This record gives sequence, structure tokens and C-alpha cells, in this order.
Amino acid sequence: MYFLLLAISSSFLISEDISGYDLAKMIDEKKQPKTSKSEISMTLMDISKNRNKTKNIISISKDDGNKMLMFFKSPKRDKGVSFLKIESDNKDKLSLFIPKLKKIRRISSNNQSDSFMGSDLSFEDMLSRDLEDFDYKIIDLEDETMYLLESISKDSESEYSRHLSWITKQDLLIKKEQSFDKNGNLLKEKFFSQTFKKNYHLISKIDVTNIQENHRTVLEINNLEIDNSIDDDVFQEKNLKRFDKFVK
Amino acid sequence: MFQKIKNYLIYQSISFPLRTTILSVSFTLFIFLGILSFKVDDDLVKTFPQDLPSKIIWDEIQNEFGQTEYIFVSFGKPGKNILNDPWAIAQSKIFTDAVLNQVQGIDKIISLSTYNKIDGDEYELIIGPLQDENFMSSLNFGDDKINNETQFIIDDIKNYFKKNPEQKKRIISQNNDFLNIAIRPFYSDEKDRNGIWDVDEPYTDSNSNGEYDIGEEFIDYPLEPTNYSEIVPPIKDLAQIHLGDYEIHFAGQPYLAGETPSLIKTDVSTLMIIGIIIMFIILFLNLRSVYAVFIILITIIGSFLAMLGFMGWMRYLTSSNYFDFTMMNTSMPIILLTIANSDGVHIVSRFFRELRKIKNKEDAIKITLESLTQPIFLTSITTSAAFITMISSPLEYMIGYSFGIAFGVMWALVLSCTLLPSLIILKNWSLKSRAISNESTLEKIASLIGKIVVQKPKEVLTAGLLIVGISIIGIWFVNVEVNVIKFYKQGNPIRESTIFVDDNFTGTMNLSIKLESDFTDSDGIPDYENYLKLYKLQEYLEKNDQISMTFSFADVLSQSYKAFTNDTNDLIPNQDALEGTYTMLSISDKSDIDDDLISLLGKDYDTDFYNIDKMLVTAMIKTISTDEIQKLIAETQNYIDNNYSSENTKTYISGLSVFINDFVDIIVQSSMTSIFLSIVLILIITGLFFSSFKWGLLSIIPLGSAVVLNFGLMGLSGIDLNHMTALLSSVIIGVGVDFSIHYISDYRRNLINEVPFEKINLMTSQDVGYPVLLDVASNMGFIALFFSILIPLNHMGGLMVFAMISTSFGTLTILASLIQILKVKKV
Repeated sequence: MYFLLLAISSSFLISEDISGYDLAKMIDEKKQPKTSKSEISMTLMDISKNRNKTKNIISISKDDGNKMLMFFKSPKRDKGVSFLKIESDNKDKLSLFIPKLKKIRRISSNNQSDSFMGSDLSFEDMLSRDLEDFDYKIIDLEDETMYLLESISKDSESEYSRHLSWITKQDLLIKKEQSFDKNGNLLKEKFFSQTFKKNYHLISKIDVTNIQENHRTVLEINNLEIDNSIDDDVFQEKNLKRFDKFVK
Repeated sequence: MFQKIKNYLIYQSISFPLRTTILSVSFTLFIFLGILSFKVDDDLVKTFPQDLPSKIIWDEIQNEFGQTEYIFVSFGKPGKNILNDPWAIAQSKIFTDAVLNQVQGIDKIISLSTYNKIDGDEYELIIGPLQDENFMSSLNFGDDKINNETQFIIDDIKNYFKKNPEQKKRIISQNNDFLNIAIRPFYSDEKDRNGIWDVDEPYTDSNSNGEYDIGEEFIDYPLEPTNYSEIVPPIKDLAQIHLGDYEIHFAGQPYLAGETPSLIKTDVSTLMIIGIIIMFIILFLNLRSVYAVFIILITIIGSFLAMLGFMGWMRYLTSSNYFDFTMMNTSMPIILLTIANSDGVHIVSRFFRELRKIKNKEDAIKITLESLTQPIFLTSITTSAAFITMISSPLEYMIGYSFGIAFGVMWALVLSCTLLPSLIILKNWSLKSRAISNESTLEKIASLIGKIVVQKPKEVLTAGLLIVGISIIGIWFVNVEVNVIKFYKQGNPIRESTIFVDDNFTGTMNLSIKLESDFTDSDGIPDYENYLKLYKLQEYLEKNDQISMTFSFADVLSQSYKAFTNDTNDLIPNQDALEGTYTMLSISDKSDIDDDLISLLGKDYDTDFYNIDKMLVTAMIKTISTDEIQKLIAETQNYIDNNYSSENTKTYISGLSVFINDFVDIIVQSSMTSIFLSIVLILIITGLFFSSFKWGLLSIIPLGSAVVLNFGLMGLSGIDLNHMTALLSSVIIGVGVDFSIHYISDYRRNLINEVPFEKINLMTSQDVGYPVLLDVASNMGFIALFFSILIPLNHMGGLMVFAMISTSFGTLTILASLIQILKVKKV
């Protein structure tokens, strides 16, 4: 999962004349938990209508978040809805299961800009970013404790044209990110909070606002278990239908 | 007091004709200066009553769901499959973009380029544009051959419509040869949009790789968003620019509401001129003096200018737009023309008769004014009072109408008593001229009628009452028709275009049914029973031949369910499937159909579909008559009453057609109330003025007869009652009361002058009958309205002519014979 990709380990010592690409590479190569299991509460906020609702999710992931299985515990209507992501060099596979319809829906590359479960994260946000899909540039900042990294998308199918990421120099933690649409207009603004556990800096909260739609999503990650043994077999489509097995 | 004013005016006109002329012309021109603040407003919707229940519901629906009415633009080449013509598809997009960007007041357009599909297969649900956004860039500009990419995109569209024939009906004609573009104006509260782009910059589509211009003829239209009459012309212009190579049809209620007022005004103003020319000729043939006709016309024109100026002044002084000149005011010139003409004709014809007898100009005008000032004053007061009763109408804009006409009528009185006699004095009349020396044909006819009445009063009265009695039957057959399209004759391009769009697409009118119920609860769990009821309601509506299709959120659910499950059944089979469909939709990206969802669920809908408590069902209907609309509404209401519990579900039926229907009902009802009030008011005024209830009663008898005759004729001859023909009752009363007051007043004067009783009626008939008949004859100019493209104007012309005949008939036969039979000898 994208935000778990940002889980950072120990502090870094970086030379002052580092390039944007090098910085992105260092973040990409940082050590991450082998597996993780967590409970996520996803709160959707319609700012203009002052309306909130919370969905509770169980998330299981492996291989730097390249494999992920998620189950919705609530609300009542969405209970049992599950999501499977398998990222590979050949093709990413995203599948969604809706138990009441007994149907698995596959998310094609054309639909990756679609919202994930009505949130302000898109399916594209759920995928790891390929280092080579961007051109990078570090922009000078007055704040000497932070880098400002500009990532310009080379992928014509991406919903974004570029991202601006505020990264701490100390730990290479992304604290804030702005994502711009194809027309160069600000689309989303994300804020990240991290917690330190077992030598990893792990994301504990993501606050995303879709500026254009005036809608906000807050994800809080709780009960995080890391580096437990999780079989590769878990990440199969058939397991999308096994809510009772994975959610106690 | 009245006598003093009368004597003063007579003295001034006879002694200082030039000064009186200059003063009266100057005052008229001063009032006319108000024209500087005069405003013509074609916005038909603005004149609607705001507190009518169906208007309130309609406003609420539009406030929640957006505008419910569309302007339809359909284009193509008959017999040629439009989807095989990529340039037509391209022009459709270019026109769509041009209207969206260039015409202010446009909220949304449903066309091939903006249409969203809900499609998918076993695994995938796709909600998004039907026409691939690369379509424009795929085109080979300058090459007629269709390349593979373009063909692929077109085939995709064809396949989707093949799978979804119901949706196809909204965009592609039955014969596949026309494309339909539905343009939705903003609802009046939505005024924050600024859709004008820089007109100096050529428009290009930023999403396409190949840039394309939509043309260079950009027009910056400074529009008010809600005024259909300001939205329609630029849309027509843009259609001509971008779709000009194709046959184009325009339709829809906003289109008709935007197009009709200006057409009516243009038609009325052209035909009025023809009418005035005919009036001029008829007056000349009878009066046989160009000068006499000229001074009558001067009086009419003077009062007309004063009326327009008065409305401008009132607008300036009160800052009220009730004094705007709207479509409703179109009949004002016609009405004023009739009434002002009556005053002038009475004075001039009487002057001629007196001059023939007395041979002295000053004495003749003095006697004329002494005889006529009082009845003209009284007719003006009663006519003005009759018009002022129209302020009791629920239409606020009738305030401007009634006060405007009332002022025009009173100014006609002023000019008839000052300018007209002064102009008469200023001319040297030759006593040997045919105009003075010989009786005209109408004078002879008036004498003949008088003789018949005196000789056979009972027979005349019986015959008159018999005709009125027969006419009463016709009243039961009067049909109310307010559908604007029915105003146009068969074969008229506007009517034919509407019929074309009706026949080839989903219809141009609609009914909006708002349902308030718990469709989903606070956990987003849907109520399957409610869904089923909604599905059955639509099924019931679609069984009606007049309804071509219906749509609601149930269709979005069904379409999503079908697309995802490959089920062919429209009905979602059970609670689980419905819940699953809601879940699937809630997690899908709906940004492309957000507008559609607002128009189905309201602007406050929850994107996760929690607490859905209202939905809008829209039934597209072909153009049908008011009677059929009423029947359809009644049947639908009946179905809802029988199938929905009022405790759980509240339903509201509305739409422009429903509202207009109610609106005209109100106009017709208020016209009837106005007739009653006017008659009572006239009874009181004449009773007081003549100090006798008897004369008051006699004055309204011909009036009542004329009203019955007119409405009876409408019923018997199939002339529909609508807001234009209903207003005619005011003319009938205005003119009818004039005739009877002139008759009674002259009769009473003859009684006072001790004319022998045997001669009184004949003498009155001769003196009053001639101007009455001349007035009737000169108003035959309204026959010009027969040449209008609008049926109500044809009817109005016919009814005006008939109103003149019936009111004169009522006075010269029924009233005269009644007086003769009753042997009225007391003043």
C-alpha cells in the first residue's frame, strides 16, 4: 500500500548536493517490514455538507506492501467487501469483491484514477510508485530541516501530472504531499503522521483532502502487527470471499 | 363640479383650439417621456405567480434537483445514419462545447459527447463518458476516410446503444439519422456561473492532441441566466454556425417559452399596423374625410403613447418591474386601440350629424360635447374600473397591465374632450361635402335597426334572447388549452420541429414526480420495498402511450446491476442484490455522473448513498393537450395514492407543463372573477351616476349578453380558452359598457329634452347606433390577426370582431327593445 511504502527505518546522513532522483531512490530502497497486519479506520468527510462516516478495515500486506488483502468490517452494508492487490513487474492486479452480489470486480488500468471505496485515495494511490516513472527535482526550501521533492510524472495514464513532497532531512519521512492533476491544478493534499516501532518509522495517520471536490479522508492505522509470518497463498482471489477466516 | 369641468373644456376647445391643441400634445409628449424608463421584458417565467402551489413545488424541485426542463436541438440528414458521419459527431461536440462555454445561463448539456455510460462486464464496472475523449484527436482533418481509431470509437458507441436501446432514444433518432442535444438552463437561483470565455481567443480543446477551432464567429452574449428569451437566440445562432450543414430542429418548453413572446410581439406589431390601415380605410369609407380619420387616429396614437410613457414613469417612480412590458402586455395596444377609437368615432360622427342639422361648426361641436362628454367620461370611468379589478388576479404583473390600460383609457378621454374638438374647430368644414351633407350607409343601417326595434320590440327581444340562449349551450363546450405548442398552426416550423423531436426522441415535455421516503437508512441499507414501488411506478407510467420513457435513480441502480452481473433483467431481484449494487456504486468513481445523480437524488445526496430520503422520477412525454396533461396527472396521482402510504412516502407532481396548466387555470378563474366584479362595479357606478338602479341594471344587460355570446361562440366553434382569449372578456366589458352607456345616456338626454316617447328610441338608435356601428366596422381591422402564425392571435382577431358585433347587438337590439317594451319614461 502506498502509505506503507513510506514506512521509514533509521536516520540517514545525506550529502548536501544530492539529486532528486537519488533522494527518491533512497526513500524507495529503505527497509520496510516484511509483513504487516493492521486495523484501519477510514473516515470520509464531505466538507461542504458537513457529513462524516467511518469505515473499519482489516489490512494484511506483504513484500513491501506489493501484496495486500483488505476486508471491510463496517458499516453494515459494506461488511465483507474485500480488496486484493498484487503488484508485479508485468502487471498489477487489483480486485474487489462485493459479497452481496457474489461478484469479483477487477480494476483495470483505465480505472486506476477511480476512488478507492469512496475515499479520496484513488486506486493509483494504492500502488507503489515506480521510480523510473518520474523525473525528479529538489526545490530549495527556507526550512533547512526539509527537502521539497518534485516528482514529474512520465506516465501518460497517471491521473497526476506531478507531486510535491515535503521530506524530513533527518529521517526521510514524508510529512506532506501535494498532487496535481493533468491540467497542473492542485488536486490532493496529503499529510502524514508516523510512529516508531521495531526500528521502523511506520505511518500511523494519513489525512487526504481532495481540494477540487472539497472532500477529505482520514485514515488511522491501529493495532499494527509487523513481521509476522504471512503465507503467499493468502493473497489469492479466492480469499476475497473468506471474510470469516481472516476477520475475527 | 362635473358640469363646470365640462363647460370649461368645451369653452377652451372652441375658443382657443390652437392653444388647447398645443397644450394637450405637450402634456402627451411629456407623459411619453416616461418611455426613457420603459422596459420590454420577454421573460415569460418571471411573470408567473410565485405563490401558486405547483410553482412552489416546482421551485423546490428545481432548487433541489436542478432545472427540470431542457431545450432540445436535434440535427442530421434525413435517411443518412448519423453515426456513420464522424464529422456530425465532431460538430455535435463542438456545438456542445460552444454552448457550454459561450452562452451564459447554461447548466448542463446532454449530448453524445457528454453522455455518460454505465457499462462493464463480469469483472469491471465502467462509469464514464460514452464518447471516448480521444475522438476529436482521432479524426483525420482534411481527409474523408475514417481511420481505425475513429471507427473503433464509433463502434463502441453503437454497441453500447445496441445494448441499451432505451438510452439510445435520448440521443439518436429512431431512424438513426439525427442526433439530439438537450440543453439545460440554470435554475433561477443558480446565478453564480460565468461561462463566457475570452471571445478574442479561438477556442481549442485542451484534451485533444489535434487542436480544433469551433469557428471565428464568437459572440459575447450578455445574458441573464433565467431568461429563456435571452438564452434561445444565441443557441440558435451557434447551431447555425456549427450545425448549419444539417437539418436542425429546436424544441422543448424553455425553447417555446423563449421563442414565443418575441414572435407574438413581432406578429402583433406587424398585424396591428395592417389592422390600423384597415381601420383607417373603413373609417374613411364611412366618414369620407381624411382629416376626420386623421384626428381619430391622432387621439388613438396619443393615448397609446401616454400609456407607454405612464408605464415608464411608474417604473421610474416605483422602481417596480410590474410595469415592465412583458408578453402578457402584448394585448394592451389592441385593447386601447379599440377603446380610444370608440371615443373618437362617437365624437366625430356625432359632430357630423349635428353639423348636418345645425350648419354651424361651433354649435355642432358644442352640442356634440354636451351630449357626449358625460357618457364618454362615464364609459372611461367604468372601463378603467373594469380593468383595475384585474389587480385582484394572482398575477402580480397584472398591476402594471391594469393601471397602464386604465391610464390609457383616461388619457383617451382627456384627448377626446380637448385635442379632438380643438382639431375639429381648427378645420374649415365644407357643409357641401359628402361627409357632412349625405348620410353614410352605416347611418342608414342604424336607422333601419332603430325602426325595426321600435316597430317590433318583442320579436327583436325574443330573437336576441334566443340567440343568447343558444349560445349558453356553447359555454359548456369551452376547452382550456394552454400548451404553447398548440398555439402554432400545423405546418409551422416551430410546431413541426417539436413534433419531429417528439416522434424521434423521448418527447419534449416532462412530468417531475418527487418522492420523499426512506430509500436508504443511516447505515446505507436500502429499503427493497421502496425500490420495488419505484420500479413499478415507472413501469406503470411507461405503459401510458403518452409517456415515451421515465428515468430515476432506480435506472442507475438497474443499469449498474446489469452491467456488473451481466443480468438482462432490469429489475434487481432481491434485497441482497440491491444492497450489493448500492455498495458497488458507492465505491465506484461517480465524478463523471455527479450532475446526473444530483438531478436524480438532489444536490445534498450522500456519495455513499446513506440516508437517501428523496428521489425524482422524470417522465418524458410527447407534446399533448392541456386536457391530456390534466388526465395524466390525475391518473398518476391516483396510482400513487393507491400504491404509496402517505405516512411513509410523500409525493409531489410538478414540472413546467403542470405549473403552466395551473397557472392558466388561475388566469381563467381570475378572468371570470374579474368579469363578475366588473359587472357589479359597472352596475354600481352607472346606478350611482344615473341615480337609478334601473338604469344600472339596463346598462349591464347587453354586457352580460355579449359575454355569454362570446364564450358560447368559443365553445361552439372550438376556439380554446387560454390566457390570451380569456383576456378578451375585458375588451368585451370595456366596449360593451361603452355602447350601453352611450345608448342610455342619449336616451335619458332625449327624455330630459322632452322628445316625444314614440320618437325617443328611434332617435337614440339613429344618434348612437351610427357611431356604434362605425366603431364596430372600424374594428374589423382586427381581421388582420387572422394572418398571424399563432392560433390564439387568430382566435383573438376573430373574437375581437365578434365581441364588437355581440356588444353592439346587445345594445342596439336587446337593450333598445327592452327599453321600448318596458316603456321607460322616467330619467
